[in-house]
Amino acid sequence: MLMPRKLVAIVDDDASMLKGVQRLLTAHGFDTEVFSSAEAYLARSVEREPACLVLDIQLGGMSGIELRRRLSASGRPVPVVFMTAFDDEATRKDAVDAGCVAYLHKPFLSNLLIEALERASR
Amino acid sequence: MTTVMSRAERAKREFSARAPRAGRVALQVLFVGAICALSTEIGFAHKIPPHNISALWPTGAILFSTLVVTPVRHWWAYILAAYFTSILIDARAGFPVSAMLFVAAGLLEILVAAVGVRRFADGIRAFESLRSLVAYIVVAVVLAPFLSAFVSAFAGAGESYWFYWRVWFLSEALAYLTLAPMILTVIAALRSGFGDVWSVRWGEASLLGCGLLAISVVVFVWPRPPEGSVAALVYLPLPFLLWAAVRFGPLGANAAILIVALLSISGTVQGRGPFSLASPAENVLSLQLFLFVSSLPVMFLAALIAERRERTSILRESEARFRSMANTAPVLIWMSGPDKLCTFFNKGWLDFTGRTLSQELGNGWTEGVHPDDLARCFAIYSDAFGGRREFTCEYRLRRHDGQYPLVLDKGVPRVAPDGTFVGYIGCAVDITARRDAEIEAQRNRAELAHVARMSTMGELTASLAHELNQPLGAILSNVGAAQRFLTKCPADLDEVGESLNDIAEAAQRAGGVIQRLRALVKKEYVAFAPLDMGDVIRDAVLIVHSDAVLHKSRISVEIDTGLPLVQGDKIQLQQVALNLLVNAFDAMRDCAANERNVVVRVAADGPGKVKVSVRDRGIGLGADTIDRIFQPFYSTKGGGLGMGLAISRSIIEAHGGRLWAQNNSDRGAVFCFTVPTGTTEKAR
Repeated sequence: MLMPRKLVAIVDDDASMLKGVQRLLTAHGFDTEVFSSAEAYLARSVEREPACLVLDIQLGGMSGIELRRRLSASGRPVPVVFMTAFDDEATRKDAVDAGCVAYLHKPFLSNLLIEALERASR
Repeated sequence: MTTVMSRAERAKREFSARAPRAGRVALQVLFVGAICALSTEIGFAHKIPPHNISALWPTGAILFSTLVVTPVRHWWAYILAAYFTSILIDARAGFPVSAMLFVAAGLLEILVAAVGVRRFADGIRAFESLRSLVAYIVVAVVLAPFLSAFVSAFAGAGESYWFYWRVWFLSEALAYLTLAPMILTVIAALRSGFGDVWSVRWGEASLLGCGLLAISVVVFVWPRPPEGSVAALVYLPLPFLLWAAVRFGPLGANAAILIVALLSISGTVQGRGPFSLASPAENVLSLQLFLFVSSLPVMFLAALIAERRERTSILRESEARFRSMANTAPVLIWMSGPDKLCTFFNKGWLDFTGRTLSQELGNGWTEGVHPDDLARCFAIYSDAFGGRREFTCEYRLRRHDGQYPLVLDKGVPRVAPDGTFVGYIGCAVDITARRDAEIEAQRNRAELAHVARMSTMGELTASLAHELNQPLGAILSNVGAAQRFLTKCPADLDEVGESLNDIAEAAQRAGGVIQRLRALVKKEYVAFAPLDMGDVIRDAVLIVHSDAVLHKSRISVEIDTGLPLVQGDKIQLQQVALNLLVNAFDAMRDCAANERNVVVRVAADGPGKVKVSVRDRGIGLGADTIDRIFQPFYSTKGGGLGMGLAISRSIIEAHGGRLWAQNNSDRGAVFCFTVPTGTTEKAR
């Protein structure tokens, strides 16, 4: 049975992180789209809605949490996996409040992300 | 009542203080009067018949000498005393007009001579220099008798005016040339206690005196005509006169001249000696001429020698003063000649090195210089020597206990009064304690800077964790991807290879973060080296990268190319940059996120400095805070120690630079610091 590959969008301002996550998801059979800022994601040409968003929180400019709120407000509730290199209770709370499938603290084990994505797209 | 009492008492005290002095003056006046009377008697007794010509008339010269050495306000007493006796004597002749003329002539002569000598010829020191001797001869020997002779010549009633003029002039002049100098030099010697020359040479003096007496008797008093006709004999006393002048100065010369004068006159009066062959008038004239001619050169010689001796003793005294000053000074003093060889070391130097003067002289001192410092030290010395310039040099010098304290040596060229270079004089001080204190202060500064760095690191922990977590996250993602590619069938080794490359890259990045942190946290002593300020700033910006992200601030860096290298300690300069950057982020806490920009600029500042400026878009500095932010424990942040800027400023000042702050014209503040360029090298 041939399942259609799911599209996951990744937003991170750290190039190596972006590349690493993209490679991981490709290896696990996801289609990926990468953006280095929230603004770039919003400005993308919409051909295909992603099944899920992997969002870094501390982005230069609009933060990941803000982007999540913006998307919810615009009525496009895409499931989101947050990731951050900055561990802080307030941030975690904001992220959970904004709504997310998972909140991952960098560095995280790959299977945590894969499991979260599978959970989100089920 | 008290004032009346005290005035009476004061008058009494003044009277009782003046009384003995007045008594002494009265005694002196009586003494001079008696001497004058006696000398007048002697003068009469030594007149040569038939014209009763005297070769030397003593009274005027004696009174003149008295006036030279006594206060002007007492002169009237001495003059009265002197003339009282001569008036008494003249009374026996029934006060002839001639006696009155003699008194008038004598008075004129004495006053002219005494005032002139006191005014122009240094008084009793008239015989100790050529200049004053010439003045003495012009005033006392020539001018005074010359003028007075015009008055006295009238007394020679009936006889030739000019004959009497000449007799007066010559006999007075001779007295001023032979007798007065002796009296004045004796008084001068009595006042100065004769000096050490005489106390050690009294044997020689008595030998000279006896010899001169014997010779003079043999030449002038002993021979009866016609044996006295051997005129050449008159030169015999000359060696003794020269001896006296050379060895005993003016006093010796004047005494010897007086002996010759008295004995030759005495012989001539008795009709003996070389001046007894012609007519009495001719005899006296030739005797007088002989005495003039033989005394003048001897007196000049004596004056010359006295002058030379005075100069030598002044020189010796100043030399002795220099030595005693040099030897008691608590510093090391040396001197060298124009040939670079050292000619003097003071006691301080010799005590310090524990060596003898002969060991240190020449180039001996270099043996004490630390072998590692010797070449540099000698190069500085030789270089300065060539250009006759001042120099300073620090080197280690071996002390008597074998230790090598650091000394600071400063040398200045010595120039003789005529402008010729005669070598160097230098002074060295032990600066070990000063240097140790400097090192200690530097160490304290380094410790403080380290504490401040640790404190900055504490503030940055969250962002540093962020900085490390990024590459670690990338590594784990790539590891997950690679594992997945390996489980595929067949394994996608290309993708695995790509993953491994990225892993290596991220690991290196993490390593770099750790390395930069370690350098900052490591406790290292300050090490100045040529640095590229651009590198320092680039590294600092990397360290605060995550802090900027967390503060939602952007940093832009503008570094000019071709900057000169600065001389400094990399860690400490980075610390200053970090401090300024972190402060800039803090200052923009309350700004809108899109306005949080920091601009770091590195540029040349004139020829010898590099300037770094950190410009923020924050709230700027208040007028009251702009002066206080560099003070210790002043903080505008909640959690800060308040030491950051104070320590940053001390670091920059220790680098020879300056750190300051000012507000931007539109908004925010700019913090700038400069660091001097140490070398002419250029950055990449």
